[in-house]
Amino acid sequence: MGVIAALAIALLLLPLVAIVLRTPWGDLAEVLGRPVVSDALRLSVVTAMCATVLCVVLGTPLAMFLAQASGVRVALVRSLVLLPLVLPPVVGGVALLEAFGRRGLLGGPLDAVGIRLPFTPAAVVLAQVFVALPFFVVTVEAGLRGVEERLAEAATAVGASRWLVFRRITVPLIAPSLAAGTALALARALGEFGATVTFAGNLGGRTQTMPLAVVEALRSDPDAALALSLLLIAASLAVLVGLRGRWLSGVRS
Amino acid sequence: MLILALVAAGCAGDLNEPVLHSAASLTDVVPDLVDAFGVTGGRTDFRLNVGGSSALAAQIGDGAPSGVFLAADEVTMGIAVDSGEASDPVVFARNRLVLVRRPRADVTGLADLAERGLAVGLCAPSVPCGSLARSELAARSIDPAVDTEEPDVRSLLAKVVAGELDAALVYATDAIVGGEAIEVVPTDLAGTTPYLAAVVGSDPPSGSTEFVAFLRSPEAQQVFAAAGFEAP
Repeated sequence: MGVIAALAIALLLLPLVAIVLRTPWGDLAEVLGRPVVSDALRLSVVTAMCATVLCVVLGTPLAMFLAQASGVRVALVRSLVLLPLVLPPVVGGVALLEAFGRRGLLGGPLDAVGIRLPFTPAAVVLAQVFVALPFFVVTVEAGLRGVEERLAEAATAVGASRWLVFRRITVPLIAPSLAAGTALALARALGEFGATVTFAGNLGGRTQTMPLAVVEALRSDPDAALALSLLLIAASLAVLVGLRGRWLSGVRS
Repeated sequence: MLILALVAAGCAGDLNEPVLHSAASLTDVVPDLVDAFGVTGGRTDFRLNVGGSSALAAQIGDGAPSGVFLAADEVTMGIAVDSGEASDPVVFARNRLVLVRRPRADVTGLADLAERGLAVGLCAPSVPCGSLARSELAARSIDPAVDTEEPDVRSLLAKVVAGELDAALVYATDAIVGGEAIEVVPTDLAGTTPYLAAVVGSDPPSGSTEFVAFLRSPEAQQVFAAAGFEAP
């Protein structure tokens, strides 16, 4: 058993170690300054943060709805929310294109009034929200379900408004799962590739996020590909450190 | 342990058939070439690996399965040759760039590619189609307002066919494949890119060298001409 566990660890560790060893540490500052890297880094940070904010704003009410209600209706909604989680990202991209592309269901009418989504940073954010929202909602819903309903009821019984209950009781209690959900959504948004390249396109400075830039750099600038990969690994590690094992529990331990 | 080994061997796949690493623009013509090769007595059990030439060249450099590399320009073939994995490339066809547009799009010439209001697409600069497009535009002092740089010419064509892009520079052969869904805009574009073939791998499967030689034969050239390619 121990041997197999060691092999499994090696399988996971070896590729990461290989990247760290092969990174051009001496020229790293110069490589990080190249447009393909710096443009992608700036775009990724901005779009992922916008997407994460949207996930929090849209996802918290949704998580509350799922946590409080029950029945077939809620089960259907929950399946819908979980769908982007299991869908291959490129399929998500095709779906977004069919909905918001120039000939899309909503995109067609929008294009007629001059609003064009594909090939813009907004499209990048939309693709990221589509894939990251389930991560946030699932985590926060789990946290909400762990909150004692009687605490909220007690507060309401002594006259607290719903907003006050939310602000002073619910939020502090689910703060850990809010933080965990936010971190997961951010990580997922940063790493998004398939839906982005299909729906938003691939243009340096406008829609070429770090994962897309890695693919581009692999063909023309291997050092930049390594530097970008290192940045993405560092970001992922930062998310894991921030989570500190709370992902699965969702409730303050 | 034995089960793991068997599964691993199974997942690794069968490596006996030669792999045709083929530029995306050759997608439709490769099956006809393999059939024609079979008619002359050659093997037909090639496996296909289709993609942008630069991605393929990188894969070959990293040790992709041996066989044949069909590249859409000298630069990408050069990458494969420099890596030591490919040798003795030969030119077997040429392809011309054309300007295509979404039907009824307001595109009448190459100069329109500089319009910010139009959705314009090119191949990525590292891909043969993209580098040829950029050099043709630069020679005419046109600075295109590009909205996306696609990893291969077929992805680019797909976006024009889907109506997401107003205009793009693709190969003449791709314009034919696009059919009714796109319109070709007449221009003075004359630049062509050479297609090169080379054997890949130090011990390539039998049939690889013969296939490369076959590409310059009259039978193969007939297949290329029918698809819209030009002579080497």
